Amino acid sequence: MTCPEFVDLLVDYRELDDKQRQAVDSHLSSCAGCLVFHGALIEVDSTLTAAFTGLEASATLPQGVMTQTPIRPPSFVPMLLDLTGSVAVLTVAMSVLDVFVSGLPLNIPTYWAATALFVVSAIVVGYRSYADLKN
Amino acid sequence: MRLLKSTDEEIRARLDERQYREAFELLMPQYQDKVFRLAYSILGNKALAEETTQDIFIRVWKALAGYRGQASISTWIYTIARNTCLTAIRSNAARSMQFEDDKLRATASSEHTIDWEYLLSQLPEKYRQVLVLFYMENKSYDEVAKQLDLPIGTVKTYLHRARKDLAAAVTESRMTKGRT
Repeated sequence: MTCPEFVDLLVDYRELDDKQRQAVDSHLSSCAGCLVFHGALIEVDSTLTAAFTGLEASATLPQGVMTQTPIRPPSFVPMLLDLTGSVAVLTVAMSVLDVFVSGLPLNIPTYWAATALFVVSAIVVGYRSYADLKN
Repeated sequence: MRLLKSTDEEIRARLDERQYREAFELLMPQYQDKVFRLAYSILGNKALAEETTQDIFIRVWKALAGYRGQASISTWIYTIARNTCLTAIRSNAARSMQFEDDKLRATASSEHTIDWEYLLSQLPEKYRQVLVLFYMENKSYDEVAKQLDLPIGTVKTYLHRARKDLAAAVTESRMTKGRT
């Protein structure tokens, strides 16, 4: 095995099995270059552990958030939009079904109404999806 | 029969009963540190991470009535958190986004020490996010994967490359200083 291969194993040392660990340990005892890299890796781990482990949000965060979130319940707009969208989709389905079931001849006002309802439901459902994406 | 509910189950129960304030008051202590750490790993700046964490929870509050339970509470919150961080990055584009950390800066005061902030800034963004979050989350691959919405295999790969690049940079820096 070459030094670059040992370096890769060294980086993943905690994931290695006993046999691989023995191979890495034995290589380290005879390779000055890899030993220096090993020292650097230990330094990386200890520095980043000391800098980042247990980092917490400031104690004033909850207070700051609570003062900016009014006691009243959050907006019901998303639920209202869901309801409006469902009603619109249902209306479109019913008007289309009405045309086929009753066997009426082409009726322009019915199609205009169905088209308008389709556009409204598309806008509502589209807006809802956009709001979901934004969140 | 399970007598003890997890906090997430408690939160869901409150939401089902439309007790939004109670749900939010359970959710805040449960997620405030995790969300802050996630924001910090993405933004690389403590003050901005604090500010953004506040915005994240305000967004969570506003969206609470629309939570429909398809994703787990944690997945839903982390998605809002990541999106809010991306918005913060866009609106702070003019501000330098170089990685900043007081503890790392304190260790770079003497001539023979390493400039860790600089080294972290040199890493590709996706490697740095995973690396910083890994150390903040007590070296849990699972938690990092959950918060960044990445497969565990990807987390391990990014982490491997980030630690290897950093160790190589430290080795290089030590050798350069040794020569001078």
